[in-house]
Amino acid sequence: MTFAAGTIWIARLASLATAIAALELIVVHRAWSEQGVYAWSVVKRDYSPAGARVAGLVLSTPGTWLVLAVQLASALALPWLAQPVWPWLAFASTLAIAVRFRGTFNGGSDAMLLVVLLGLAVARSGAPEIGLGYTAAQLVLSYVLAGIAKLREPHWRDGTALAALVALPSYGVPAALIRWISRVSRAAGYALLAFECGFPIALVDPAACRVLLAIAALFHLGNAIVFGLNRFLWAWLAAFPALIVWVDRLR
Amino acid sequence: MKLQLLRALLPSWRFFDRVTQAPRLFVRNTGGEWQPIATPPRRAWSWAFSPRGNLALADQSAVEHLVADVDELDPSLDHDAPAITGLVSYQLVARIARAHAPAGRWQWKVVVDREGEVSDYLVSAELAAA
Repeated sequence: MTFAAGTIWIARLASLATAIAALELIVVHRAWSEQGVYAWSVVKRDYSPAGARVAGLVLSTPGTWLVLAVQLASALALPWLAQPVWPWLAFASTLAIAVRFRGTFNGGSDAMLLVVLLGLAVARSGAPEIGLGYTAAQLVLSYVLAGIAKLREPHWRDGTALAALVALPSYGVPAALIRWISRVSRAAGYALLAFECGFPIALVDPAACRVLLAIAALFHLGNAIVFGLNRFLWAWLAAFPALIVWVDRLR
Repeated sequence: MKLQLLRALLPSWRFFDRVTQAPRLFVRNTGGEWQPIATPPRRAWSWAFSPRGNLALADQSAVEHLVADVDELDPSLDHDAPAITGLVSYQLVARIARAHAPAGRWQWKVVVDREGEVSDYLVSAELAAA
């Protein structure tokens, strides 16, 4: 895959991921209105009075509506308009939303979406090697560091972690899914460790890269179904073309 | 602002490494049974688009931020000490609890599980009907 083709695919997939993020927050707008949990009148206490006045321009309730409109519009523009302003706007509005929710609204998926949008913005600003290289490096790190962190935990090493994780009430995994996963949890847990720690194999061969990314796509789809982490699926898929491009280039 | 930017821009990429029960938020009528706040039902399309599911995850993150913030304070503080109730994370969790409050006078609490030992971490005063 060429840098040009990779950039187009990233733009398409980042468009989907960013638009979903914006639309989800629009659906739950009551939660961040003044009557809701995440009212600006509460969150702004994180700031000094002067800082709150400035931040309020974009993080107050009307400001958040404006930011979401920019996020959605720039997301929809990404596949169709190649000017760098669109990914920069998508990046800035996504970052503003993360700050609005005190760091992230949806944890690691916000972080990967920001990585993808920043990489795309840099790529469309005339440095595709750097932009896609940054995204590809973060993608590889996201699997390898997650794998190493798991290896340090005894429950992952003895194969009991996955069954325990799906049973945690905070994830709200349906009982039927818990029962089904518990039957295969030991093998699946070791397979996950092997996949995450072995992911750098993707760097050495284009075919291996594509196979590992196909497995990764299934892994994220599974997480979306089991744990309800839909945003991770879209954000990580949007990063995949960057790695394909760089591995093809290294070949 | 700096903390929020750092959280957003410097991902740790550590997912599901610790198999410990996250802190949980409970509500009850005064004198009644404690109930965990309800998670939204899964829909057929939740794997792709899940606004209420992601809001519930954000609520859970707020509870975890509260525990992290209180962990940094003097452990001898009362649960209703201004140093605790004045935290933004406390205010947010109180509002999450209010959104799930039962009818009548009520309370909320955060329960933590540390190394298998489950305990009440914070318990609110009795509150007027939401």
